[in-house]
Amino acid sequence: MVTRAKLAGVAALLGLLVVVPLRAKDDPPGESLSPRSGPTAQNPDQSLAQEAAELKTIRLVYANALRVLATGSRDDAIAAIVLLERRQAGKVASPDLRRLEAAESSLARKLGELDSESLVPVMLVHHDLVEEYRRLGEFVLSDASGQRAATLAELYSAGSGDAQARSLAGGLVASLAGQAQKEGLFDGTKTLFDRALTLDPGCEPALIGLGALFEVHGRYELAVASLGQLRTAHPENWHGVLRLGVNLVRIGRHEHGIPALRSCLDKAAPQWVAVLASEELARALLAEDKPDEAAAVLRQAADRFPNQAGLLVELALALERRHRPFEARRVLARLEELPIAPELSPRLRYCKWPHEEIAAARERLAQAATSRLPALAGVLERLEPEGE
Amino acid sequence: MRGWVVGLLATALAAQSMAATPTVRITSPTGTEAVFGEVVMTAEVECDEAVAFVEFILDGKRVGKLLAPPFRAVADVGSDNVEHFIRVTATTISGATGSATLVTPRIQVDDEVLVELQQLYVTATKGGKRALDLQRGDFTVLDDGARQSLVTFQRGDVPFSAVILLDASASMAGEKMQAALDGARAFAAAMKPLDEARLMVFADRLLARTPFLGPGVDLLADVSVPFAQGGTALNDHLFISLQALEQRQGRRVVIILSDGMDSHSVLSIDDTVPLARRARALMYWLRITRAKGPVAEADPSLQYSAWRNGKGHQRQIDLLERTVVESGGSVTLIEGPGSIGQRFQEILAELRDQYVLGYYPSNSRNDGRWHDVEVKTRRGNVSLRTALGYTDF
Repeated sequence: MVTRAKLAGVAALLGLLVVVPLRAKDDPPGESLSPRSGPTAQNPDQSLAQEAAELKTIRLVYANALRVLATGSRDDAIAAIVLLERRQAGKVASPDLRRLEAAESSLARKLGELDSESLVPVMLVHHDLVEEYRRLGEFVLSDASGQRAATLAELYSAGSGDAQARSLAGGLVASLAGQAQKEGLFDGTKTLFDRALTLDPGCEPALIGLGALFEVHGRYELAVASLGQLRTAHPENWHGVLRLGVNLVRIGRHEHGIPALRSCLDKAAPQWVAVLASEELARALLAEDKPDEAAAVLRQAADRFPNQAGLLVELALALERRHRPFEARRVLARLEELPIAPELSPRLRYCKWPHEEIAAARERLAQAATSRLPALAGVLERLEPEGE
Repeated sequence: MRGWVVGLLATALAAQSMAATPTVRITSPTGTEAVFGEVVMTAEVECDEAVAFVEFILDGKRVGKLLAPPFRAVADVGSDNVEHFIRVTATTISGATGSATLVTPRIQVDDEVLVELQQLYVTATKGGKRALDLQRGDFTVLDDGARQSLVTFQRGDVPFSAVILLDASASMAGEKMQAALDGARAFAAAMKPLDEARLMVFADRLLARTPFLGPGVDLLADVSVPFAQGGTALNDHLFISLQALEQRQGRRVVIILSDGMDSHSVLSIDDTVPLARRARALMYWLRITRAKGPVAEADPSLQYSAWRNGKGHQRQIDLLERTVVESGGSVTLIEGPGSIGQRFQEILAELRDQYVLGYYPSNSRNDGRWHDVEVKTRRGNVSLRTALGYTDF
């Protein structure tokens, strides 16, 4: 988290105070780094020279922030970039924002040309700035950070070209999509997932995220398509197989949905997945008027997971359908003995966004970024004579 | 000579076979009474030779195989009124077998119908206030359109068993939750002798529960009051409540207090309706709304959870409302926590002021068919509310 005291400390650390006077609390946003022109008249040559000088200043400060990043001080680097960008761009889209974008991107492109691996920590920083800016109420900068991170990921993937790079780049963009989803942006989220899949067609967080996105908007056929791809690419993703089974049954494709749900009863599947798959499998069998089969599935699951109330409730329903109310009553009596469950029910867990897969992508990226810090330091070293 | 040897061998084998044949006797059930639900089957075996195993076959399916006494098996025969065939076979170590069979009878109901007393709990109001001076002759009961003779007539405190279902999902946090708990506690405290209540606090899962407690006991004394959290699994907990109430005698009551609608149950409301009809509990739904005025319909274009779209969400609401009304209870919209306690007390007062009308249906067949019930009064300006019917079991 960036605080004003931290900003001051970072500015001092970078020697930025010379070129970037710290803004007072009530300063208007968007004040420039350097004493740029107001509305006074200038000739074209003066304007171009001034523009070039401003670009150079931004690149200088940005490069310094990346040097801090290369030393492993991620939080200080983030604080420095926040300082730079808030000063430069303000809260609304403006020429300042375009200038900032141009200056930072040109530097990043340069880094990528020298060593594409150096882009990994940089793109992660811009990824993390999305949430940091949201917290600070800087929504334009947050969106711009997301775009920058995605563009850098594409640049990195194109520059490196290997499978691992595609995977890391796809994971980053999928994680950005996860952040967009939190804002309830269907189109923005979908676009980012699509970009992630362009980078890495087998991108696990993107495929499950897209499936969940379609599902939560009631577009079950599209969810099935995405989750089907996920199953092909990552058959061990039990969460994805569960969602696939649920949605296949929803669109009436029981012949495929029931085997998918049945496969989730595998001992390797997480408990919540196996419990929910049992419930949904039994539900599908009840819909097919097979209460005996449904009851058998639920009995087996209840033996395996004796503390799962939902299984007992549905078993009681299956027995009611079988005209066995006494037995249903005995099953429900077992509920009285169950401890109060501290954890979320599997059904609520299912309603949550698939954050685990997305968090895993972010974690892989963080590890990769750490290992690429020497590469970043190296290219910044080489960049110095030209860039500054 | 050869004939003599063959004859001797046959005699010896026959003797051995006779000695080893086990004798089986089914000791339970007796075969004189119909059986339903879980049945314990026991058998005794006598034999000169060691018994290898004993098998219990019920209606053609093996339900137990035992290697040593006691020879006992338990099976569920269901609730259908049918004959059941039990066969017990014992096999000795040399392979000799002996068996016994038994047929349990069905209850003969072809010529007579067991007619159960139907009780109607009727709330009468006049000008917004309860009408408490009605007499037996003021009421007319129509069962599937046929006028019935009242055999019992009562007003007032028929003991009840109530389940109070409190939604403690995240949206109930704060004042609402506290008011709900206070209301439930006050309701229980004001109960009369022989009344009983239990509390179930639920979200997407059960968070707290009490057993059925009588008056004079603090309903919350042994409850660790949970934080409001998670989603809403109303249908599941309504189903559990109705099952529990079905086992209680007398007047059955469910009070639901919720500010939302089901989003995380295993069951749909459709699954719960048959049980609600069978349990014949009076249902009261205290529905906390977010704003004054009529509650807006669910938006069909929205997905209310991964499990319910707008259309499904609205169906849950409509069907629960219909079930509550059908039970003779009521749906009350509550605009905030302030009136929760008062509404609990109103329900209690209503239960105390109800008329209880009993009759033996003239058209009962125990055939599982739904009967429409209508209660009328000749007294002017008096409105009556009661169950709209029952399932004839």
